[in-house]
Amino acid sequence: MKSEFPFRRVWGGLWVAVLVLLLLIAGLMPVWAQDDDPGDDEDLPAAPPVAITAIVGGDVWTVTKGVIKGGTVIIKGSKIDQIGGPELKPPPGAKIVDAKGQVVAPGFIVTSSQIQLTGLTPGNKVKDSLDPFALAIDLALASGVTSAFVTGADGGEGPSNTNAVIKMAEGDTAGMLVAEPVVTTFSMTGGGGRFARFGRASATARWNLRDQLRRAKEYQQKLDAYEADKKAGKKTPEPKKPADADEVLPLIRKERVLRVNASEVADILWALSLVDDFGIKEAISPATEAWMIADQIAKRDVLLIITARSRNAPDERKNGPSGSNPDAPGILQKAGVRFAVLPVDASFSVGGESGRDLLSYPVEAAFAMRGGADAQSALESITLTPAKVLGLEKRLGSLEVGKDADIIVLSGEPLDYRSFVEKTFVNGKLLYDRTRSTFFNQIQPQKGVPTVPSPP
Amino acid sequence: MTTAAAKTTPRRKVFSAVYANLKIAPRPPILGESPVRTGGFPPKLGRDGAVGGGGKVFSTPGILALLTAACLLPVQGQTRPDPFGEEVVVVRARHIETVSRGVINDGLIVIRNGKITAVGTDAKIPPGARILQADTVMPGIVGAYSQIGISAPAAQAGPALPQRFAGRGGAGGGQRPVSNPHYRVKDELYPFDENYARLLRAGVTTLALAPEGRGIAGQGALVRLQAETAEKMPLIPDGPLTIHFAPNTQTMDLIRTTFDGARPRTGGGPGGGPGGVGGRPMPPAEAEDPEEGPEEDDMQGRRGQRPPTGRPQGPANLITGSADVRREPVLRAVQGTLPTIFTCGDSASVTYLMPLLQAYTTLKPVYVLSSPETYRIADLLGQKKANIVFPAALNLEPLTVNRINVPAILTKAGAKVALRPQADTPEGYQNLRYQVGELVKYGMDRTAALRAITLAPAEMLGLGDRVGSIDTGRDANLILLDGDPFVSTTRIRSVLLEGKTVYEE
Repeated sequence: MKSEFPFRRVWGGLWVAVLVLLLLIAGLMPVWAQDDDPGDDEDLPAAPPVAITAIVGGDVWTVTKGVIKGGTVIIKGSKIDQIGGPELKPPPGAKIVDAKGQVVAPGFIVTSSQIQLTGLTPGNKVKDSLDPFALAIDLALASGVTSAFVTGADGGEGPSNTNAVIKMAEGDTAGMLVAEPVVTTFSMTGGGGRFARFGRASATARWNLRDQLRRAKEYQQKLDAYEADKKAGKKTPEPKKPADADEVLPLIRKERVLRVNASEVADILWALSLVDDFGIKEAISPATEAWMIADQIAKRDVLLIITARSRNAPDERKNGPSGSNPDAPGILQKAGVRFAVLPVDASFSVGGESGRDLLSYPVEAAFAMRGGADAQSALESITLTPAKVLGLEKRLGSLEVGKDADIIVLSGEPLDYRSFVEKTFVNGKLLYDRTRSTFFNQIQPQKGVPTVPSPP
Repeated sequence: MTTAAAKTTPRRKVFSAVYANLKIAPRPPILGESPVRTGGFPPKLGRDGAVGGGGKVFSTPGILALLTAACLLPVQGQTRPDPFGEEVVVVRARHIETVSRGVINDGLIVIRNGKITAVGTDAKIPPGARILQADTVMPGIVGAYSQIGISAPAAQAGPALPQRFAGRGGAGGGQRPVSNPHYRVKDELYPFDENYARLLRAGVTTLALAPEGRGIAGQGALVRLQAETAEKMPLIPDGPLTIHFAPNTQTMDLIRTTFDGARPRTGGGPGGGPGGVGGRPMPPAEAEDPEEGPEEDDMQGRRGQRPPTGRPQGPANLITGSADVRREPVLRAVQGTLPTIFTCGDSASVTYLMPLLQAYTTLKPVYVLSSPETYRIADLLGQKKANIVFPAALNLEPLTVNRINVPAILTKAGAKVALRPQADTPEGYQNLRYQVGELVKYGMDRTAALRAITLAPAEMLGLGDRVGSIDTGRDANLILLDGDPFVSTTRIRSVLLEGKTVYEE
């Protein structure tokens, strides 16, 4: 053993020398590389300059930070780069869009729609079936809607992940898909099962979902423990993943929202019990009777998707209040519940009289104000809250630096029924301009009709 | 009076709004207007009359020609063609629309054994030739995509999906794609279909027949429209592989796995994947592990988004066909020795299909499109110099009353355009020349338009050296007209198929 020490020292020194040599070589490498191919950079095509657009002079309704009078929004590429007051000057070379006397707002988001864009079939992905030239896209852009949720018809009673959020990126298939899937849906009204005719998902379907969530939660707890052990150096067997865990694990991890279709109090309460038991994020639609248990919903921070003008008669057989309430938005807001709104017929069309409510989407939010909600939550109900329902609030729903540049320029206040969408930007690109539109260019808004109040 | 005038104004405005966006091309020269078209040539000999056959002569050049021929007579000692010898036909015309080499005025076309052996003003009339006269000669029309006279095999219709899953319309919407690359149209040809005689009368001499269906429908056939037997109908043994594309995951997976599976296995590269077109036809989901892994993962980095209903059932394939028989046409298509026809229901399909086909560099795709909104992807198609087959008709810009000339826009963008009639019927082909003429009127280049019904489809389908142009070595498929082909007063006087007169007015 003793004889090894000097030996080691010699070798150790050698290693150090080799290391130093290697470092030297590594340091010299870039120099050689530069000498070798000076022409290569010239051959490479120059990266196209990022397009910069500045919307100046308009009242910027940020949704999250109030209204900036005569503000400036600078778009760089597909994102919002800067937002400021009149003092913020656009950089040289920027394309200037004058919005003087107009309103700049985030594009509206629709949480449920029957837009005919995709062929959703089992094993079919939304991203493989988009139609960037569909008529609905033109109409959506003209209505100020920049993103929408699309879902396949429910195939069964269980939870479903067949859905996506698409943008109205006209002509750009790749720019259309925001995320797929975005939420997990579960319907308690129908769903095609044996109990569909009673307007309820079967008790079996409910039990199955609860059990599936329970197994996934147990697995997640075991997995967390296993990973903690691994870090600590303990050796424990890896937990076995249940076969159906993948479907609901994102719910347990709070990465995805469970969207429950429920309208009656009993169904809503059952949906709330899932939040209590599994700590998941949840959104409930159409939640017609939610106004009766507003405080319970608020306590669990569950989001709602309501139709502010729905008319459901009370159920005569029930011993107590039931059905819809025109004051529901006000009751919900006072309790602290956040809600998104949806029209009765959530689709775009130019044929026939029905099925075209989304052409006047902001009016649905104005109905929420009629029911007692304030202007701020009404505005949020078609922008930020839908984004939260879809779990995309980091990208969509308000005008903030770093968010997607899905912006609309309106002739007046967003919730005013007389306001026209003048320009629509999706992914930073101007895709709709009313002065060039086929449908709306010849229509002039009427003056002198009272407007709805602005948010504080 | 004033009120009447006021009433007419908005009408005119509407009219100008409809036509304002169209560029009106200069009118093509009509018979008698061109300075090169001198008065009395050619002499009006008896129809189909041989020189010296006693036709009436009205003009000086005609007399001269007759005299020249008369001088030769004693030397040759024979005035009529030998019925048992080599048949020689000469077409003389005031205008020869060669398509490949522009217009030849006052020229001759010499035909021996069904092939063109000489074209030009200085070509010699061989002794004993049968001489045909025409004002204008153009190549026989090449039908770029047709189903006339053929029927889809029963198994071509894929199993229907449940109604609630039916996607949007168009080719393949709501039904699963099939995979029958070994199905051949040439196995079910019938040369005596009366529609083929009607097509010949309309000047169509070559027709590209393609099977209908969903997904990979099979091989088409490039046929001559008159033959004694079905075996003699195809011009070349193999027709284009025909794929009906629809934008959905199943169809895209099917194309990807079939193309990759057909590549030779040597080398073991990415092409040597699982046998896509093996003896037992594979359902599209079969090769999912190597092919689909990354695809599946790219959304939020998670797996397992496949619905619990499991993998789709296999397509309803024809039960015949060994592995090699199924693989061979796909392999040839991928290697580019066989052109591939893709039909697309809408423009969105093209935006999916073109990136998908980018991996197959040697593939020779022909896109059969019909949607008016195709003009919105004209730049994309032009950049790739894509081969496009489009209906010959003006369209309305969607949601407006503005007329648009999609073939003209595509041609201008750099794409190669072939035109087919809106109706795939003999009547449709009878009107094709006038429909194309209307496109010329509204801004399409006349040369490109004439090419679009002759040489362009021939070249797309690999027949550019056989048909579609009047040039030495080409098949003598000719239309003899008494005027400009696009002028509606022009009549077809006769049609030649490989030198034989198959129609005569």
